[in-house]
Amino acid sequence: MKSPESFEAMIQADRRVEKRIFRAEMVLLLLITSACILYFRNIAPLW
Amino acid sequence: MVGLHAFRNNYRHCGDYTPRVAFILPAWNEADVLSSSIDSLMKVSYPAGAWRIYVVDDASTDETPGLLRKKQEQYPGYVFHLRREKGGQGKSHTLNHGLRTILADDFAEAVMIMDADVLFEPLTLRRMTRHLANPKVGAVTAYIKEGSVPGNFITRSIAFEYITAQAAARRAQNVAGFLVCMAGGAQLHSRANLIQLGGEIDTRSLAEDTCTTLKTQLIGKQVVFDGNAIVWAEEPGSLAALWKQRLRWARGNLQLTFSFRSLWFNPGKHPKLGGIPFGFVWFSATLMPLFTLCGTCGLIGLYFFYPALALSSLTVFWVIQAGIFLFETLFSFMIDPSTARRAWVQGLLFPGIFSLILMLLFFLPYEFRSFLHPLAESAGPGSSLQVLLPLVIYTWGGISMVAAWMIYRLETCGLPGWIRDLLLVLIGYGPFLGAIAFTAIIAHCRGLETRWDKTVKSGKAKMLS
Repeated sequence: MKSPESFEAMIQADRRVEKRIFRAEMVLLLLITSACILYFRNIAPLW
Repeated sequence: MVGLHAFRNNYRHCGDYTPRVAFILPAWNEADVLSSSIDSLMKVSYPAGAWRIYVVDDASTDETPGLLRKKQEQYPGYVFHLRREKGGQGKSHTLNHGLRTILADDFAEAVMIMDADVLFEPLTLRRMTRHLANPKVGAVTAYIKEGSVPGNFITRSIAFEYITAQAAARRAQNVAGFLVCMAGGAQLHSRANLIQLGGEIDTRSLAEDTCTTLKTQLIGKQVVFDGNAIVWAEEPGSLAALWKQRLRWARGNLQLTFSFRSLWFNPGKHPKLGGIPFGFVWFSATLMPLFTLCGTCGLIGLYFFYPALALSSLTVFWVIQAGIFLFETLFSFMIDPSTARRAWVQGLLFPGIFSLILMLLFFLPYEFRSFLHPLAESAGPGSSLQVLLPLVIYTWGGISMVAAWMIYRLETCGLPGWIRDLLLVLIGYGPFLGAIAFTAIIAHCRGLETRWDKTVKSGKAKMLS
């Protein structure tokens, strides 16, 4: 039984969502890790 | 792990597959919600005639039978009314009544088990059935979003919680190759899978959805979560209702912990469910309050017996907490931006203001927290506040759960909603969940009776995006 909407378009849209989540996780990990390194190497020792 | 779902998922095995689907809606006095859920199911984007809606009326005493007669006239050939004459035994008994009828007929190639109040987005069904093109997949579950209109502080806290507990955690579980729980509100089973499960749902557990999830994987089938398949539901808007719902879930999971005791950390029994990652996920959820209490006892032990270590351990604990909180909250906002726009305040206040202040405190210069050192002057003879405050901070993990339980008790005694919300902002929604899990453990140890307790829905759910 064939369905009315484009199956491929739906899969592609969902894959884009997954890739966006992957990029978000990588950026966030990078930012938080950098912030931690900066904090513990440069700021915390002053205290 | 969550991000890796972009590369390790079931999409490559999906096909343009649209089996005939039987929706099964257990309904015990659900006249307020059934109309909108049936209407949403009639708007799904799916080949005409390829789905049916079976409402299992669990001896309802409200307007449910009359409403169903109208819906049958409105949607001839789509809506079916199955009536139980003796009801109130719980969802799994009601589902089994429907499953017997559905499986006796050869129409259904797949069965969607759901709740009476759940609203389906038009493409959700197709996003779920496509996974069944892979014969290894036995069942698929969707992302349930909280959609109460009007919402309140509690429903928005649940909306945020579901991003982490479903959209994030279940993607990570897909990557790991197992699923702990399919949402009871939207789980699609292939007919073959249900037949292999014996054609019925286990009626002995309060967590019938988790039980079905585990059994499906134990018979060698895959269970998949699709975070892009979205359904909407109304979740509890008061602490009392939330307590009742979550206590049932927690007690159900404890029942399963014992029912499946030979499975844990036993890869010989099942390579995935018996593995360390699955056991870690399972027990970190079911025994979470015990771990919190152990941590609290450990810190207070250090405070009195190894003072030199106490403050540095407390600092490490709260710095790690702050890192996890920051990452988890911001990442959740990015995973589901539309929910984040509604519930960002609840996301930021999830641990409670007191915990947030503690997280901040441990990033400030030492002078700001020197009073916490067990050998500091303030910890010696002085005002009671100088003695008590450090002890409260060291034991906050345990105290916050007790405080959350007290807010719940106050609400049941008639505390106004705005004061309840204010207290919840201070103490945190997270400790409230811990308090429920701890109560479930106590109730289980005392052997208290487990019984089905329905969560009342009033028809407030809407599709919000």
